[in-house]
Amino acid sequence: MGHVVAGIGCSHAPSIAHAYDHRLTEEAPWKPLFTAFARAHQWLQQQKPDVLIVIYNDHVDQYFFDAWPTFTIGVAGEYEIADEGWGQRNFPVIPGHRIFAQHLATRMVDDGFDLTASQRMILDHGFLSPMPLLNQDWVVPIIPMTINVVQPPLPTPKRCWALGETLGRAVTSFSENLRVVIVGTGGLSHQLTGTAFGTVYPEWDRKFLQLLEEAPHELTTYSMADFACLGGDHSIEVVQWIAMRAALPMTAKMELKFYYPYGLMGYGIMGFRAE
Amino acid sequence: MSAYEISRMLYSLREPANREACRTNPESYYRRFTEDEAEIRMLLQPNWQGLVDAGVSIYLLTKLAATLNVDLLEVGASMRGMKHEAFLQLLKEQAERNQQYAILLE
Repeated sequence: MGHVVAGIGCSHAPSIAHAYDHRLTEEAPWKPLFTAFARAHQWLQQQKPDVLIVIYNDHVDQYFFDAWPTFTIGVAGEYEIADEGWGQRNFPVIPGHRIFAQHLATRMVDDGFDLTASQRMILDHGFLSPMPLLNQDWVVPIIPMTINVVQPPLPTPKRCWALGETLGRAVTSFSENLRVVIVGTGGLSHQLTGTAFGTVYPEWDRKFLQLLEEAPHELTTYSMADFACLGGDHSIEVVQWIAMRAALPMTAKMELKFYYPYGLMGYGIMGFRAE
Repeated sequence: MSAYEISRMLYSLREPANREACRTNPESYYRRFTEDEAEIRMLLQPNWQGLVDAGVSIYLLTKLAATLNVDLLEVGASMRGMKHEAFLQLLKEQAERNQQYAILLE
């Protein structure tokens, strides 16, 4: 059967992609972040994953306002690299896992969770800023999933938790032996509009990380508006971490914790091991 | 006034050829999508916060910034009503103040 063996929550941002592509990873302000991603990469290798399920959000690169799906799962054999306006980043197409993805999609709908299947997904920085650091050379096939944090009405954090729980059950119901790691990307605090542009909220970020570790279910009592108020409008992406944590057994142990407030946001990484 | 038409225009900037057309003659590119003079003026300035207030997503405005080769920090300074240098200084001081909250890994 499928086994959820571990989970990672981490930030995504164009700044991470920019620093990586411009070889700034060893320079003073960026070094702590890339050192932490290198550690997370090592830790992830130790979990020996056969597939990574990556829950992220699209930034109007794949989806548009004509119809924005609340929850999606990619069921393609491979995935393309987005051009977000700066040109396509230089990576090969990303291998998927079609059979497992189709199983998950069917099983989740049968289990009462009506998500949308995507046969073609162009992956933007929500996926592509952290994943080359965690899954170098695309050695592990991936399944992308998205949560809508852009076009209202947005799902509640409680519903995002339910997405994770349902995903965890769907993984377990797969007939083949597969070691699965769930990744949730987004946040932490950031505000990208208005007179508070660039404000970082480190006290709330630390509280969020602590809750995710010690009392994750408590995060379902918050609303999207609460998260926007506490960590800035664009920090609501943290629901991806919540879905990741809900897909893991509640007994999972936190083994990796990093937090670095710099520039326009609070950068975080957290790793949980299930077994 | 519709954020939808502006959004459609900004969404089109994912294509390099469209970015080139937008850079070559911004006004005529914008007019393919909207005839609203107030919208055209905001785009030509560009009035970043005005576009946000009109309902345009920052995730689309970053595509316009990329097309026009404007740094996100310049967009941010404009939204705050600050000079670019003053905003950089503010971020520097914020980062220094917030270092006490960092949890680093070796």
